[in-house]
Amino acid sequence: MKLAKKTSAQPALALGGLLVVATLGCAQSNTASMETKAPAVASSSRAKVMVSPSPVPYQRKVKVSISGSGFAPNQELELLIPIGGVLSDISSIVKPTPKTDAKGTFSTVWILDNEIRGKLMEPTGYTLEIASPDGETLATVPFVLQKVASKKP
Amino acid sequence: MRPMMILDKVSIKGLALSVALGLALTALPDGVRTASAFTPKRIKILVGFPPAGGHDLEARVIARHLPKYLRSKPSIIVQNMPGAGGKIMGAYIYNRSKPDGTTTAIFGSSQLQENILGAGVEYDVSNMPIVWAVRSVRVGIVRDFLKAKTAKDLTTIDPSKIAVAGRSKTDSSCVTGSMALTLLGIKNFKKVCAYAGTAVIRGAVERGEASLFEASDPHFLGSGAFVELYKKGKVIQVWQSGQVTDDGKIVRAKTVNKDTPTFQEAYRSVHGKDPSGPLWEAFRMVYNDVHSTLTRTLVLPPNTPGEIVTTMRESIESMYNDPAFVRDWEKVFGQPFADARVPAQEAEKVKTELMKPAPWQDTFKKFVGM
Repeated sequence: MKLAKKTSAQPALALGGLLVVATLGCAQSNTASMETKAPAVASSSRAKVMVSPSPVPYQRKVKVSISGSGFAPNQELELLIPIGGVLSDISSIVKPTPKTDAKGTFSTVWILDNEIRGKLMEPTGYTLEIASPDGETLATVPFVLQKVASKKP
Repeated sequence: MRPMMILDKVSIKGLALSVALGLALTALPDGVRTASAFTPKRIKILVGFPPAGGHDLEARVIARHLPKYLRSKPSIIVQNMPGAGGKIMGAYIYNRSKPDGTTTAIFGSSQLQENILGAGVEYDVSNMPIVWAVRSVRVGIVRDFLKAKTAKDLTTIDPSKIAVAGRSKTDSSCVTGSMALTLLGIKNFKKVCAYAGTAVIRGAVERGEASLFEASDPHFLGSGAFVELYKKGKVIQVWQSGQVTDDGKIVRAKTVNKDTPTFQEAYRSVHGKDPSGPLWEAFRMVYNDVHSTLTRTLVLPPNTPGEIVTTMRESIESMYNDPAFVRDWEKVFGQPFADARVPAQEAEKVKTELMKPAPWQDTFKKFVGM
């Protein structure tokens, strides 16, 4: 009897799973235009985010400033970007940890090093997503890594 | 019962829906077929180290493939939380993460070792269910300038030239390297146990600041940290942890140079007899179980419900059979996945045994000075 019950529950759950996949499939987009000029600014209805410099030079130990305004005050934020083909929360490797102040603004610095050394990021366009701790997207901004021209003698 | 009688009892609409759902179910990978209420939208994998290290790469391979084996196809997000050799991340998942399966973490053998030592950690791996584990083989390497090609040679040189490298005095290399030398009867060697990571240790070994390191087999495969130095003859493998067979014997692992003896063999070559005694017992547990069988694990927070643990384990087991996953893992780590995988239940058994208070732990703590 237990087996029969388990089997009868499967179709409904499978359909639910398929619907989630379809929703996620529509929502995901990790590339940005390579034509972005500095600085990259993007916004949702209220929140604004800025990445500087933009494009970001594709070289080890490059410092990238990420700042934003128009968020809820005193809110912890997640900074999400694909690294090595996987969406990654960089909020614990940027300094300081991104949290808005009483005016709803934040500013932090990301030093890219191992991401480039380990070839987990390529010189191409990404989207940096600012999210609440429960995963709600609050704003997105293009994040473009651009190869540095080699110096000629 | 005739087929028409069945049709009489169901509406055509209902039948069509059943057929559609049946087809949808057939299209799902095997691991998704178990009924479970565990349907997260996203799962985080915490990593206690910066991107691009072994823990990080392990998390990313899992994240790339696991979603399709979970019913809700969650987004899997990797979050690097470096600091204090993984202790900050360990404390976070243990004390602050909800036990609902949406937060997991990669734990390394050094984190387990530090838990056994009670080295200022704010987590207890005994209470954290393992859902994934991979093993590796430890390899003791020395610099060529020591002029020691074997363990026996090491016993004949000036011990002050031997400098054991590691990340901290309680990390895997510093502890097992020092234990190995002590078991061989070598005293008064140096320890340099404050390097930031394997890449930095590799540099120190190359410069000659450090002359003995306890590496692992992936360091000699693919683009591993010591491939070049080994090929150039700058570092020499003097022993390996080997692999423990089902009947408890330690044999040479096939992922390491076949001429590299197990530490047991190296010991025999020096002392003319098999190793024994409390220090050997402690070394065997740490070298072969902590750092070999449980090299890297994926754990859940304490008090995670059994149903979630089971669903995660079943999904991961299904992923193991996915050729795309196996290819990806082997491309990243440069070794056969079949040699590295440890079933979660087996890993859990080993962990439970290691965490149980036992005399070897006292010897171990005393040796490390805890």
